[in-house]
Amino acid sequence: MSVFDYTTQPGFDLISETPNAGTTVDPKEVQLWFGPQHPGITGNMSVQLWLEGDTIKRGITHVGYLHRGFEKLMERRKFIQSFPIVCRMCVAEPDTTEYLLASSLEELSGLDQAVPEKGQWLRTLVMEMSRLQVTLMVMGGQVGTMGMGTAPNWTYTLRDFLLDSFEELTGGRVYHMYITYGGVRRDLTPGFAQRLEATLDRIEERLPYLDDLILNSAVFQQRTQGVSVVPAEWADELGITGPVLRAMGVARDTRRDYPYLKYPELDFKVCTATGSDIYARTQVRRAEIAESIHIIRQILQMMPQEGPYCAKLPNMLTWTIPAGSTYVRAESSRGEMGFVMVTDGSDTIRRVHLRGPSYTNAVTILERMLPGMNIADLSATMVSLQTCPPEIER
Amino acid sequence: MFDINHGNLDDSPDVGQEIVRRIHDRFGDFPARFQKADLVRLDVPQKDIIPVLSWLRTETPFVQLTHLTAVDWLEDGQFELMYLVTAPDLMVSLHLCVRLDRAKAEAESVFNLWLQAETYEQEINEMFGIHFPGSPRQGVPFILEGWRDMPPMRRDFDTVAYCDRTHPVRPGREHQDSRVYVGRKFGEKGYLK
Amino acid sequence: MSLKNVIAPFSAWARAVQKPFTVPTAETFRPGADRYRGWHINDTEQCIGCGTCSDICQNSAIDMKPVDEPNKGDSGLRPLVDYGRCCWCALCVDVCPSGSLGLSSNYIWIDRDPDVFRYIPGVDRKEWDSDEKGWRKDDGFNLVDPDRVPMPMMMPVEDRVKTWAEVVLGYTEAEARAEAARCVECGLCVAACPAHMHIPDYIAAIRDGHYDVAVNHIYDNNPLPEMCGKVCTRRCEDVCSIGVNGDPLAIRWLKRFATEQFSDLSAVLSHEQPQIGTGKSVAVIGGGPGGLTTAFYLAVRGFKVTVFEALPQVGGATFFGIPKYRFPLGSLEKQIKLMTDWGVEIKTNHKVEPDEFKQLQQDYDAIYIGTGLLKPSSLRAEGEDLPGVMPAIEMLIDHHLGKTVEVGQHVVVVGGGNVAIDAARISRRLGAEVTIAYRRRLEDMPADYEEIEDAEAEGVHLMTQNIPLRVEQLPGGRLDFIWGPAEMISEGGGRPRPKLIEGIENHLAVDKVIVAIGQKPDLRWLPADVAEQISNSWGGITCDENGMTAAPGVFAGGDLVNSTADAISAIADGLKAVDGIINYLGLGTKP
Repeated sequence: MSVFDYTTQPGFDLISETPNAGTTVDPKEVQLWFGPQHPGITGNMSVQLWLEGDTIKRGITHVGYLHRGFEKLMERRKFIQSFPIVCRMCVAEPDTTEYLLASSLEELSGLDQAVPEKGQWLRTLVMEMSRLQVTLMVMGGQVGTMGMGTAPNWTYTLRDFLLDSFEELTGGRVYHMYITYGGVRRDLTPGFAQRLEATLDRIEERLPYLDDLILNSAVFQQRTQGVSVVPAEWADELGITGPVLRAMGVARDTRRDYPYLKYPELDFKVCTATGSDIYARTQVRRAEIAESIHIIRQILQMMPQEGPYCAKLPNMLTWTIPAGSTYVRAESSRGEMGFVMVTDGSDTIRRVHLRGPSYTNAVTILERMLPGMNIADLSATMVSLQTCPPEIER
Repeated sequence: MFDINHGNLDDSPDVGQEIVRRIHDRFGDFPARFQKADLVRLDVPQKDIIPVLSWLRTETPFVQLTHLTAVDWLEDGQFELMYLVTAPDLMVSLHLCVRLDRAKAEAESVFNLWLQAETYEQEINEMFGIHFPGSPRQGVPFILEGWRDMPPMRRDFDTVAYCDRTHPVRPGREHQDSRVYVGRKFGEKGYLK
Repeated sequence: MSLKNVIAPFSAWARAVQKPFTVPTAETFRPGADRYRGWHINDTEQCIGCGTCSDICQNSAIDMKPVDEPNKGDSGLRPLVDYGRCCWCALCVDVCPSGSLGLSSNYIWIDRDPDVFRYIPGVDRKEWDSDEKGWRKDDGFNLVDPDRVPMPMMMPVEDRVKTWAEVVLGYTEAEARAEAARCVECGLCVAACPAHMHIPDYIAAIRDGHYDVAVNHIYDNNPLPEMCGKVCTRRCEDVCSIGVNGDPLAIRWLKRFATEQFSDLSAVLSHEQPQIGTGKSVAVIGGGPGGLTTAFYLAVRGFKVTVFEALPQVGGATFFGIPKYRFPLGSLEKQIKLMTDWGVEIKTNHKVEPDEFKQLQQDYDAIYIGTGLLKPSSLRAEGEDLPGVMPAIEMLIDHHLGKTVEVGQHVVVVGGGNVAIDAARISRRLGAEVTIAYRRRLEDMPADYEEIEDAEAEGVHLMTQNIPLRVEQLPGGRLDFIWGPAEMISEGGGRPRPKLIEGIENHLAVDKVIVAIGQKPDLRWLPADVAEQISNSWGGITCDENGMTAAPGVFAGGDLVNSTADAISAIADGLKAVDGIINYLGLGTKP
């Protein structure tokens, strides 16, 4: 095997492995690694910072601590075997990637027409439950980065009640592995809707109190209003989606713009805010919690009780899919997630590529927002951008 | 955005058809596949890709680079770059696919059209060994710090051999394939071969 | 900043006295949900050891291990789960064809030794083995395809009885490949097939469209595959793992499809057997499937082989016993042609007599006997000698040799095996109303279930639990078939047996009574001393594990030797004799 040496590649000498090597060291400058082991960092990543006082002069994002090569692994597995892998692309929100894998291959194999009605509804249900639980977690995480402990305790507890519902429906709390080719893996359990309703009521009951702790809190307002503003002109250029975009006042949402599953039949509004700062992004998330609850209630109402939940599948050990390529997208809690799927007529995926919002949020946007930022705001900024390292590294 | 020759794209009943027609008029008759309401795939020759992308970026509502990725077609001796360019207000995406010579593995950067292309091109450079001259982070490790092997997303990189080397199976594991085991146990043999 | 916003966060203090939601897990066990995906359980009685769980595991967490006490018909393997790799996705459960594998709702297991987290569920007993809860296979979600691709049949049914053309049309290419794709390649069929054919290998080749490869796999241990592809008793399909909870793979139809792709088999077949038999000669007496198998594979190895067949056509029971609408003569002749092309000499219309047998023993290095069962069993009812009562086997032979068979307007066929069904369906085609009279229940019928269905579709009337009492002559040449109903009695562990309900006599006026209640061996053509030496209590022949009889150099096989009396068993006997003859002549690698 020929060994590829990137050190011989053009451009390598411009920036070597340690990006500051060779530059003159400013005596007032402090270099600081924020992460990979720091409670304020969002997952297993790090930001290398150059500071003057507590002001960040510049910084570089480093990922790779969590790289497991999912895309490569999926190229070497049968289609069905890819499906326990994709949920790990975003730990907190596995259902979006599961749906994207299923729908992309269904589209290429022609199975998409066979997905039964109830399967579509159940998919919509878990996708929206998933958005709700992640948004709750991020709301808590947002104030947690500022040293407030009560709100995260509350939101994490509320999220855990939702995880109970996931456990009941899918057999797993975190890695649900529920949405699969042709539909979903299991039917609703008896009484599931009532228990989920109870959880929704419980969340709804707590929301005003959470508002007092977060959005109505003077401390939170002081810390977030006008902080880490993402300029509006970056929106299209950098492909910003999700709450970060909607906090700029732009009402774009994949669920409405590129209708999929049962979203066209559901009544929901696209939540926006103005200011494009951390506060605005938190406002959007707060509004989306209420909106998700509203959507889930509709789904429970409208979902058929009877009927198959999964299409008849071919033998998954020998399934082959004709050659083709596609792009499918879905709205995760962070914004547009998409799968580029390329098949070549064999029984494995030729190439799969996850397009996630964190990819630009955590690298391109974050690095450009760092100069001039106070180091105390860094964690809050990263959470408000919802950077998720497994999604960047895949 | 107003195009003096064709009128406003936003007014067109089928944006996908219309943008493909304009690309055909302007750049050449590239094969197009209308995959679904919001996705059109266009196979563009390498020499035309940058003009097409610049035109889309500057003169049409297709202003957003949603993603950029590569596919290794080892059998054909080619790499394929896939640019997904989206018109967020019209809700249509173009999948522009370009085949490159695998031996040369070089493509023009789109960094000066889209800022975030630097990360996409950095990753493709690291994972596929495709070089984008002029892109700012070529050769800078992104995910694989200290990697000295072949770019791992190339098809000829043997994942199984790499795993066996770096993560050996724990001792004492022994698997009997039922097909082989049954055949052996029940005296299966061939009388012709 | 308003005062309201300064005060707002203090509202949380109101909750300071509330009971927390958290549970102290060290003290309280929180049970998993009803569907929780916890540690594995396996019902080892149901498990067939097909290894599909191991194949689908994307983490390679499952190894198949031999166990001490396998069940009959399974592979003898059981899955061992390595929890260093398992990700609890439960694909193994959802794919399990037998439905034996499950996950319990138990998820807590603490041990200092990492090596204990590796066990064979169901064999290594665990406390959660009896857990009722946890992830189980669900009928609405299937990772293997339980539905067979339907076989196209000649339509419509009422027209079938007017023609001798083949009823089953055979798969198209797309249908065959779709059917082949259902296979999970477990190999249980290899064990069940008497000839141990390489079934998963040729199915995989068909799936991939490599029909020449498939035919080569098939010919590896079956020289009459087109016959087997059409009429085999297919014990492979009985054990098919997909068949546990669905339709078994149509292994027989797939074999038929592959062999029918080539009109000239020698163009696709090849062999690289060493010519060990040069200069040696073998006589095969009886050109049935067993004899032809021995002849073919010995000829391939350079032996000079001569087949002696009493009838004008070789094939044995596959020639005269199988109606042409199931197995056309052309199919048989195509396979025979390959044999003669590859060096087998066939002498038809040559019945071996006792003196000649002695001579053959002198002239040939070894002899294989495969003359089958030709003497019909008697009805053992009064009137069985009346004209119009005839054995089915004679009717079949006469019919296939082109002689006219008179069946009249109404026929009753006594028996429930394939011969009975064949006689009935032939009689239908000769224009008669046909009734089958069988002693036991429908589900006890030894005939192939598809054959029974086809016969019924063609208008054959089935009468079960019907015991013939006697046959009487009626005026005008007709017969009165008198029978009594039977009840089924279960005694001991065996299958239920029919017992005549005394005192009831039913009458059926027919033109012919065809008796198809089995055949017996007939060894009168052998020299008396040889017959005495090699025959056994029921008149058949006993062989050792090499297929050799008590007479040195004399081998035997087929219906004369085995108890199953079907073509594929005869082929298996023939294969055994190939090895036996090679070893007997000292040409094998075995000592």
